[in-house]
Amino acid sequence: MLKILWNGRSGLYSNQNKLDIISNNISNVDTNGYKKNDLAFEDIMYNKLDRLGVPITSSNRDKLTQGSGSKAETIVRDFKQGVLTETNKISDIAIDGNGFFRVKDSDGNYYYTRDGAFNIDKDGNFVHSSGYVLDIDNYDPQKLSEKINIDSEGNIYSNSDTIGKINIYDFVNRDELVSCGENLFKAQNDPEIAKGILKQGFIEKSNVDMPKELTDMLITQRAFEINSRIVKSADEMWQIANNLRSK
Amino acid sequence: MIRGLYIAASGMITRQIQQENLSNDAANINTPGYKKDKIALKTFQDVMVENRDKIINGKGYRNPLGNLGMAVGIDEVKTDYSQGILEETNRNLDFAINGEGFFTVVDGDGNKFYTRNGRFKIDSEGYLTTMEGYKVLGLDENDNEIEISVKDLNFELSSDGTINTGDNIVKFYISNFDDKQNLIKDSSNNYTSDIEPNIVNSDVKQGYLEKSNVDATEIITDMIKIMRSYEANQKVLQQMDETLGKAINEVGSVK
Repeated sequence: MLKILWNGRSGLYSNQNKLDIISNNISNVDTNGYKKNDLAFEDIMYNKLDRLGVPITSSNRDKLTQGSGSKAETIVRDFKQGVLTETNKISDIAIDGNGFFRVKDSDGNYYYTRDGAFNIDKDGNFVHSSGYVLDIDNYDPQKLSEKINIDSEGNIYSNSDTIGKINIYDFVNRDELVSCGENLFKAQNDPEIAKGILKQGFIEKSNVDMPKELTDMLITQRAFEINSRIVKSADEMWQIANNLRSK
Repeated sequence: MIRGLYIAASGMITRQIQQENLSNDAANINTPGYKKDKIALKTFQDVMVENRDKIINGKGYRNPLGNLGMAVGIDEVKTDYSQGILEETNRNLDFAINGEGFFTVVDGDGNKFYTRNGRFKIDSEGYLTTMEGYKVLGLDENDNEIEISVKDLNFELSSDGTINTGDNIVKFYISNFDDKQNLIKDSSNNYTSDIEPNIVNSDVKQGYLEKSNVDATEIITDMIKIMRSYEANQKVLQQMDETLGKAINEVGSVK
C-alpha cells in the first residue's frame, strides 16, 4: 500500500514540476530573447517482485519487476529562434541564427544572453538590462557619435570609422548553460565564435508558443489529477485492509 | 476454512500488486517512450480434493470430490510495446521512432542499453547523449558502430535517416528484438537485454517525442476494477472469519 502512495506521490511531484516550468514559460512570454524550458521525464528504479508474502506462480521469478514511479528534474531548453521585431532603436540588436551576446559584470565574469535590448550609457558602453556591459572587441567609445551603424557581422561604424566589433559566442553543449536570472546564462565551458547574423534595430522576442503552453498545462493538470486519484485509491484500499476485522 | 483465509488473502495481495503497477503507469503518463506494464494472474496448480467418507464394510474408500484452485498468484509482468503517439516538440535534439526498434545507448563502461525515449542532449565533449549521459550509438557509412559526435548544433536528420555530423554521415543504431519480453526495464527509460539485438532500419523523426502509451481512461477503469475486486476479497475474508467464529463459539456452546 505504501508503494502505491509513493508512486502516486512521485507522479504528483514530477507533474507539479512540469506545471512550474509551464507557468515560468507563460510568465516570460514577453521577455526578450527568452528560450522556453521543458522537463525530461524519466521512470525510476525497477524492483524485483519476488518479496516476502507475494504469491508468485511464475517459473521465472527474476523477470517479475515493478517500477517505482517517475521523476522530472532535468530541464531541457529549447533554443529555437524567436521572432524578430523591428524597434528602430539604434542600440537594439538581435541575433538571427546561432549565438549569444557576451556581457561582463564589474568583477570581469562573463554572462551570455540573447536579449539584445541594450542602452548606451554616458561613457558610450552598451549596457544590458541587468546593468552588465556588452563585451565588444577593440571598442573605442570615445569615437562614438550620434549616428552609429552595426553591420550583420557585428562591426560598429561611427562616422565611417570602425570603432569595434560585437562578437557572438556559441556552445556545442548548450544544455549545460545555467540560467541565472535577468535573461542571462552562465557557461561552464569556453565558447566558440558563432556565425549568426546581427540585426540592428531589431529585438528577438521569446520563443514561447502560448497555445502549446496552455495545452501542455491542461495535459499536465490531468496527469496530476490522475496521480491524485491513485493516492486516494491507495488510501481507500488501506482503509479496506484496516477494516478486515471490523466487528 | 483456514486455507480459505489464505486464498482470500492472496486475492487481496495480488490486487495490491496490480494497483502498485498501475500507480507506476500513472506516474509515467508523461514519460516519453514509456511502455505500460500488465500483470498476468494465474491460479496455483489445482489440487485434487478427496475424502474417505465413503465407508463400505467398515472401511473408508477414496472418494474424489473434484479440483480446487488454491489461491491466485502473479504469473507474468508483460510490457505492452505498442506505439505511443508522436508529439511535435520542434526541439532539434528530440527524436522519435515511428515503428519498431529502440535507440541504442552505451554507458561509460560500454554496457548497452535500449530506449524509446529520444530526448537527447549534447555533452561537453560534443557527443549526443541521453539525459543521464549515456552516449547514443550510430552506424557510419560502413555500418560500423560509432558514438555520435556533432560539430554543428543545428544538425539535421535528412529524409533518408542520416545525419551529417561534420566528420561522418551517420544513422541511428536502431536495435530490435524478436522476443521483446526478454527485455528488462531499468531506470531512466532504459531497457537491458542479454540477447544480441538485430539492427533494423526504422523511421526516425527529428523534433518529435514519442509519448507514453499509457491511456488515462484505461487507468481509471482498471483502478476502479481492482479496488472493487480488492474489496470483494476482503468481504470473503470477513465472511470466512465470521463462519469460523460461529463454528467455534456457537456450535460447541453448552447452554
